[in-house]
Amino acid sequence: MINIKKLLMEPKLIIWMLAVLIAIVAIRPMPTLGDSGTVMFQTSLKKGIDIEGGSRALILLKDSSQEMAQKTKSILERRIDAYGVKEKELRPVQIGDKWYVQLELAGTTEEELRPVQLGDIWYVQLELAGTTEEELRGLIEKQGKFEAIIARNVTMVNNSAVFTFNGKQYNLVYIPADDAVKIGNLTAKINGTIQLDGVPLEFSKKVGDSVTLSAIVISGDDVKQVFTDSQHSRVASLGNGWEFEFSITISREAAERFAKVTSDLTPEFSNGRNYLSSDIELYLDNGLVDSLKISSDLKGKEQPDIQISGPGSSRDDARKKMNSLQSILQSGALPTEIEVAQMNTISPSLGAQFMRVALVGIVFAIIAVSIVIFIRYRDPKIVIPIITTSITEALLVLGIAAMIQWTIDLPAIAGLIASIGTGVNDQIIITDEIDKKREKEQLNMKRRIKNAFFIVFSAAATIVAAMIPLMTVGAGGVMGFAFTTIVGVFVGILITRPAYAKVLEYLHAGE
Amino acid sequence: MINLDKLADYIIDNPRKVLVVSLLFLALCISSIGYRYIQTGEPVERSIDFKSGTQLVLEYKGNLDIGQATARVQELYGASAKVRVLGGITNTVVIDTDKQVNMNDVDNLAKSLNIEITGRSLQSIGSTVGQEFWGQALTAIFLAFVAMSVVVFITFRSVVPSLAVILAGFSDIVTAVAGMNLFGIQLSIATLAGLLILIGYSVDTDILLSTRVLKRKEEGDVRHRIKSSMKTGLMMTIASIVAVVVLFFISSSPTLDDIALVMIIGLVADMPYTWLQNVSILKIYTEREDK
Repeated sequence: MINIKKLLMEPKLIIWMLAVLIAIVAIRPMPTLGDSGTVMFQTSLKKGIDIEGGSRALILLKDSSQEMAQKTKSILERRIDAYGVKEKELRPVQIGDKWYVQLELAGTTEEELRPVQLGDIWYVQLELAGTTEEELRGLIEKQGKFEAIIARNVTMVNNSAVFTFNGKQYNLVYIPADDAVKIGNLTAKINGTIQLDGVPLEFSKKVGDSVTLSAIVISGDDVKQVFTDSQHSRVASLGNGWEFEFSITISREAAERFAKVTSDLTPEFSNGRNYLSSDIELYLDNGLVDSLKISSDLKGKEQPDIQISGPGSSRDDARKKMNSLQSILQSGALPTEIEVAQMNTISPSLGAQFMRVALVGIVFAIIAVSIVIFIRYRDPKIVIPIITTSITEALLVLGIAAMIQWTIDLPAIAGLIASIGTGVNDQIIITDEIDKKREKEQLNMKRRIKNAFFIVFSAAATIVAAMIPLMTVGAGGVMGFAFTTIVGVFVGILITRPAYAKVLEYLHAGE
Repeated sequence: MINLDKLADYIIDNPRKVLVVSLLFLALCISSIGYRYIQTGEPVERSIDFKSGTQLVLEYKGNLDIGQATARVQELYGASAKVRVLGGITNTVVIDTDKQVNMNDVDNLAKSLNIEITGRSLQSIGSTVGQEFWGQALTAIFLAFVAMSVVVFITFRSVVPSLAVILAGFSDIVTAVAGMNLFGIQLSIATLAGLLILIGYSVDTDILLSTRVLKRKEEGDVRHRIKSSMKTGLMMTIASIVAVVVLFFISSSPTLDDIALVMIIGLVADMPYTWLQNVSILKIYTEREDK
């Protein structure tokens, strides 16, 4: 008979049992009732987006440096925050010689899953409708260069005209040879800008005898406040479609520019109201967002609040566009142009499915391995410790993951399976090495265990050696696999392997 | 059932013949990879992770006619697009294309295929970063190999046995890659992880064998020590294969599926490389040492 009492008092066993206990406490499995009436376990484990659902993007910076990556990171953070996404992770990463910002939006936390807060996680909900990836792109792929322009058309006779700006008259001459206009003594080539009375004027085009000068009234830095409350921002139906509208407060300088540019415009009567002769055009990253008429009573006024509006194909579309534009205006422009280099997005339902499948896979793999081991040794006294050790090994790895808030994603689960596999292999080695007593040369138990551990340690070292280079590949895509495997190997050689060897030692002594 | 004992005796008695057979097989694998390289310019087909494109994973309800689905997908995304169905405990279809696709396209695709999508994932990657990842992958394979070799050398501190173990690891990876080409499995970040973990799995049986043969002279003659290692080592490999086969059949996630498949190929290949190739090298080596 084996002396179970004495075995359980062995330091190696005590360490092992204590570690398992601590791991269980760290994982904190709490049984909860799932929606279909099934019992599910909630844990403190941090789950990756491929399990929980969510998106991950890798953003390439055109102008690549660590400083740019930091700046881009904080602006995107503000932008996504303003958009209403709570759980996000952004970090600058270097791949090769280029800098990127990595962005991760997790699906839902347990807290956010509460129905009251469903409003806050509508990003995830929308993803179920299949729009998040596009929406996210819309939000982060915009550099966010915002400009409001009031265009002035000047009709020339023989390539010259008198141009009135802020009450002053200037001689305007078009120089065909240079494709440029000369206003007073300032010259602007096509798409070039001159400063007139403190207002940037761009020579945008020439059609026939008419030149268009675009006054840049507001640029991104001038946006001081973006109103998102229901009084100042709304979505309403308009004709066949929908329209959003919200106001922003602009800087004093911008308000002054608005006054200067509008002072020369003439009121025109249309749709039963008086409007000024030019519209104010809103551009985002050089794309026209909307063109608005200016009420004639704003002529020459320093207007601190500006209405911004735009169309949407449905109420939802208009709301999304408004939210996106508001977020971009709030966060300001990025310091560099960016491009989404990698995008992963997964719906929570598929993630949950992957997780279920992986867990079922692990359980069946362990059962299958138990059967194989039983066929080989035909001794439950060996099979039971091997399986128990493997299961506790998995628990210990998860416990460590919970303690250091390591994210468990699918690659991490694959790594867990891989490390359980090497664990079973090691235990087979230990079992066979210890079993050598039947052979010719009688080795003492200590020597046999030492022999076994020589092989176990060497094998462990090669796995760790092979896994470390993997950690850097793919912007951390398989980091989880490599890290979990390494943790598993260390848990094995430090805690579970010694305990298993001790158990076998007692089993043999008892025979 | 093959008589393992007789097989072991044959290997131990004819190490040179066995070694030639094993090396010929390795040469066959290397040339198949070389042939592919000459034909296509790359030794193994890279997945979108290392190029650019999109992978869609859709869990669905309804009947999916794979032929019809492939035709429809190729019509949309070009002839290089691939469709495969992962039959685990749920139905999942995986679509790989070198085009950039968005979720709206997926809805249209689902409609035209008459399936109801219950879960989805989209992974797209641009070419700049894909190329970077490819460089990283090659570096990782190289470094993992070098690091493994260093560990093996430190373990055995003698040239021939160490080289034999490293050769076994190398052969295993090469054969796994040849197997991937044969079965049309692409090298992705997931399968790369599978290949690298194989280094660990393949080398541990070799370490077991070499340790017992070289460092356990007190445990009987070489023949006996080889046979006892074989018993333990085959058990280890079979247990691992059983586990990954089960995982492969249950899983419906491309990540787990691909890792499992690569490991199955590599673990199967590990048996001849350890028990034919490495055993015969060690046998020849110990014969010379004894002289």
